[in-house]
Amino acid sequence: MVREIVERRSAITFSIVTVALLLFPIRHNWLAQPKDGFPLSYYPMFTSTRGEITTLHHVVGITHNGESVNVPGKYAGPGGMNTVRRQMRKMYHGGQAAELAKRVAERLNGSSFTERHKVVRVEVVKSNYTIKRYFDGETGPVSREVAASVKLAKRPAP
Amino acid sequence: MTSPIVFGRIASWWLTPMPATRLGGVRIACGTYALCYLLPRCNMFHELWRTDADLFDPVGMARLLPGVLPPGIMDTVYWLTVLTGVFFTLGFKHRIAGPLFGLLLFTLLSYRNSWSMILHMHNALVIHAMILGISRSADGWSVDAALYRRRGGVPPGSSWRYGWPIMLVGAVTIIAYFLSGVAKLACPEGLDWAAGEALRSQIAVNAIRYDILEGESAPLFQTIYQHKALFWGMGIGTFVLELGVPLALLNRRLGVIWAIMVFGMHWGIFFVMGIKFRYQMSGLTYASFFDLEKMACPKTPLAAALRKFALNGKASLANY
Repeated sequence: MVREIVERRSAITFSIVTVALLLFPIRHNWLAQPKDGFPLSYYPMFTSTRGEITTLHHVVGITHNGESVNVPGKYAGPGGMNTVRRQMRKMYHGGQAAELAKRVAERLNGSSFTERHKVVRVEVVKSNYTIKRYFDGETGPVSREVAASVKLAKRPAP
Repeated sequence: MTSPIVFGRIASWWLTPMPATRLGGVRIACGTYALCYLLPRCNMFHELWRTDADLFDPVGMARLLPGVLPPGIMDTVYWLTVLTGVFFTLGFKHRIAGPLFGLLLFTLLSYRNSWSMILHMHNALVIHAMILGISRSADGWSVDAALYRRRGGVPPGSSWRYGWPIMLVGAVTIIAYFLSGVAKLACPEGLDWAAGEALRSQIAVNAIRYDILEGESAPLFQTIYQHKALFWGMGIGTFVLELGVPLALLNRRLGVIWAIMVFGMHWGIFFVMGIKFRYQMSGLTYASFFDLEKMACPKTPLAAALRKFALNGKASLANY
């Protein structure tokens, strides 16, 4: 009987502590510099304010005739879209754009993507897109900065 | 005088007796999802911790580490997590494998998130696994339980010992949605978030990212982007489901309705935004809201005969 009382109290105490720990990150909503955590989070998804222009750090392939094509994120690194996107942004701002360009160029060498699009060079870029324009069908960037450029070792036949 | 009575009522509600098999079902759901997530991503994990160490930004358990670990250690952690995950799901050697799996999964996913960003879909998974790992979740529907019966043990019935972990797993699920609702309320838009414009622009940005980085955007977004009223409806609906979620814990029937609606919401998010909240979309995260033992044993003559066979180990199906 005593053991059961102790067990019951332990279960309740453990539950209260767990719930309190889970609720603790709520304070980040009102901090000047909130920081998300794992697995205790304040779940800030979909809360940041978006302007009319969105910026993306990514890699483009330059074709024989000078057109640019978006290189899929899988050539830049492992993981899902958001994982790769974050990694590319970190590398861009961390002065590693040339390294990223080199890595993507190595992976694109002889790939079906390169053959299909006739890519001869890759560029690590920061592109600005206007949301309204993009969904009106004009999917090109309004401005673009190139941080690094690498030629492919194995170029496809024109 | 009132406080002890209120506390007593809350305690007895929290410690409501539930069947061992229901908790066993929640364990199987959690373990099955974890294995289905981990196994096909073996190469991805393998590659991830061989990328540039400068990209490592520790979160969770990884913050306790001195820095990036040699890839071989993390490969071992991965395979140990899978191995204990199999034991956890089967309910075999649970006293050791259960807590170990919870700890290893926490370590592995912390490390995985440290290389990219916090993938919120797995916050609940890790906490579910740790709660189920340390509770008596292998007293029903498990290899341990089958071996116990084989040695002449009596199968456990309903007990508060199986009730509180189910309640707590449900609370973990619910708190994630509630916090998500509060974060929206606390963001600069506040209540205006429900008007849908913030959501629409968030989804638009996400669609552009998918389009550029994956060559494809969500199937429905292009179609509904121009219809602002739809986003108003989605904004209101999200607020109701997230901020009204505590009711789902107070009433079991409401919990079932909420779980079905929020399951639908995640599939909606996938079709509109292309974002895969895999644990939520599998439905397995909501297992604690359902009477799993009843769902697994519908009252048909064949099911009754199979159940009798499973319980007694000797009854034949001849009577069916």
